[in-house]
Amino acid sequence: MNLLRLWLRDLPAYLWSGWGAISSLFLLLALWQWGNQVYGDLVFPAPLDAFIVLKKLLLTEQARTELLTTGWRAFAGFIISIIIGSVLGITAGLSVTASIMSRPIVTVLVGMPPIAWIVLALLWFGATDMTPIFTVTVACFPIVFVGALQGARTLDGSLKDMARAFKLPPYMIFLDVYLPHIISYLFPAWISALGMSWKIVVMAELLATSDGVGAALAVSRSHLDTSATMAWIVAVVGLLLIIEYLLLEPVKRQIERWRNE
Amino acid sequence: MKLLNVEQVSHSFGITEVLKKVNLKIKSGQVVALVGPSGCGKTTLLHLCAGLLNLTSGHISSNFESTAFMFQEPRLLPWKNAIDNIALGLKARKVAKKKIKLISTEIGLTMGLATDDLEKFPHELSGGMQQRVALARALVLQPDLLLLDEPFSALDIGLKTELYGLLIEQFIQRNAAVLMITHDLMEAVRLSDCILLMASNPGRIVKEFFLDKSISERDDSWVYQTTAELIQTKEVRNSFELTPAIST
Repeated sequence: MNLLRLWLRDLPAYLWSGWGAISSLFLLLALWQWGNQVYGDLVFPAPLDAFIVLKKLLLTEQARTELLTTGWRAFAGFIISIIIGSVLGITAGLSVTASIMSRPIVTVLVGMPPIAWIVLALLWFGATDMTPIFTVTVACFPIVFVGALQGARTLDGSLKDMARAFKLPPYMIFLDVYLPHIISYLFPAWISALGMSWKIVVMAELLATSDGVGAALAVSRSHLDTSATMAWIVAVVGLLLIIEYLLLEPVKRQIERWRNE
Repeated sequence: MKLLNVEQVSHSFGITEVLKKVNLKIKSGQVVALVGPSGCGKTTLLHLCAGLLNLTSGHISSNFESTAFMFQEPRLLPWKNAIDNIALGLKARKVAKKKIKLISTEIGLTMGLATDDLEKFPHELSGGMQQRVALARALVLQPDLLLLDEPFSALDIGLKTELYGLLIEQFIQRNAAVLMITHDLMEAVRLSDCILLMASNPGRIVKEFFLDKSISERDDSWVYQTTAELIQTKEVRNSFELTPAIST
C-alpha cells in the first residue's frame, strides 16, 4: 500500500523525465525512416505505414486475441521461472557447497540455445501452450537463479552479527536484514528475465504454435507482408516498453531508494 | 546487585589461542575499560560476553536484564532510514508502533540528530551522524549493560569526546554498567572506573588499575597526569611493547 502511494507520488516527476527517453526513441524512428528511403517499401516499410497497419490490426478482435495469448504465455513462463529461480537461487546461495556445485549447471543452462529448447519442447509437448511456456521458463530460469544466488551469497556478515547482538527474532532477520539485500539483486534479474521472456515467447510461437504473435509473424512472412511484420514487432516491443518503464522501473526506484548512486 | 562475571574464559581460533584464563567482574554503575595492543583478544572477549561467539572454555554469567552492543563501525541497515534503524531493537521487542516512533525520535534528537536527519538513509549521513544513529539504536533499549567495541575510533577527537560525553551521561543517570574496549590509554583514563590491561599471545589480563576520582570530576590535567603515570608502569610498557621506562 505504501509502495503504491510512493509510486503515485513520484509518477509525475518520473514521467516528465521520460521526455529524454521519448526523444531517443524518435531518433530510432528517424533511422528507420532513413532505412525506408534507402531500401524501399518492400524491404523496409516506412514507420508510418507500419503504425497504420498496427492500428488496423489492433482494431480487429483477432489481433487482440493473439496479443493476449502471447502475453499470457510469456507471463506464465516468466512467473514460473521467477518463483523457481528465486527460491532455488536463494537456497543455493545460503550454502557454499550448493552454490559452487550449481555454477557449472547454470553455465550449461545459459549456454544452451533457446532454439534447442524449442525443438525439445516440441518433441515433449507438441504444438500446445506448454511449448512456449516451457521454453520461456527454461530460458529465464538461469538469469533469475544467478541473481538470487548472488544476493544470498553477498549477505553482509557484519549485519548478521548486528542482528544477533540486537536479538532480532528470525522473522525480522529474514524480512529486515536478508530480504532487502536479496531483493536488490533479484529485482534487476526479474527485469532482465521479463525482457527475455517476451523475446523467447515470440520465437517459440513462430516455430511451434498456430496462434499468438509469433504465429502471426510467420503468416505475414509467408505473405511477404513486411508492413505487418513491422507492425507486430512494434506491438510486442511497445508492450514491453510500457510494462518495464511504467511498472517495473518506478517500483525498482522506490525499492532501491536507499542505494547511494 | 547486577553482575557480569567472566571466569576462566579461554578461546582459540583453530590452533591459535587468543584468550587464556580471563577473569573479570563488572557491577552496575561501573565503567570498565579493556586496554591492550591490537590483536590481544579484546574484541573476542567482548563478543564472548555478548554471546556473538560460542563459549568453549570457562564460564560467563550475567544477571543484567538487557545488554546492548556497539560495533567499531555503525553497522546500520542501509535500506532503513535513521529512525527505523534506531527503532530496530524496539521492533524486535514488539513495542507498539506509535510508541516506537515517539521514543526513537526523542532519543535521536538527544543524540544531536536533526529532525530531517531522522528521515535520511545511512548513506546520506556523515560518519559522525551514522555513529550517533548507532548510539541511539543502542541506548533506545535502555540497556543496563553496554558493550562498546571502540565505536568512535574513526571519528575526530572533538566528536569522540562529545559522543562519549552523551553516553556516559545517560549511563550515570541510570546506574548502568559499561564494558568498553580501547587502545587509547588516555580515553580509558578519562572515562572508566577500572582499567583492565591486556597483553597478547595469548590474550590475558595482566593488571587492574582502579581510578578513584569520579568521572565527572576529572579534568584534563588530571587525565594527562594519570595517563603519564600509567604509561610509566612496567606492565603497560611490556604489554604495548614499549622500550623500558628511563626512570621509575
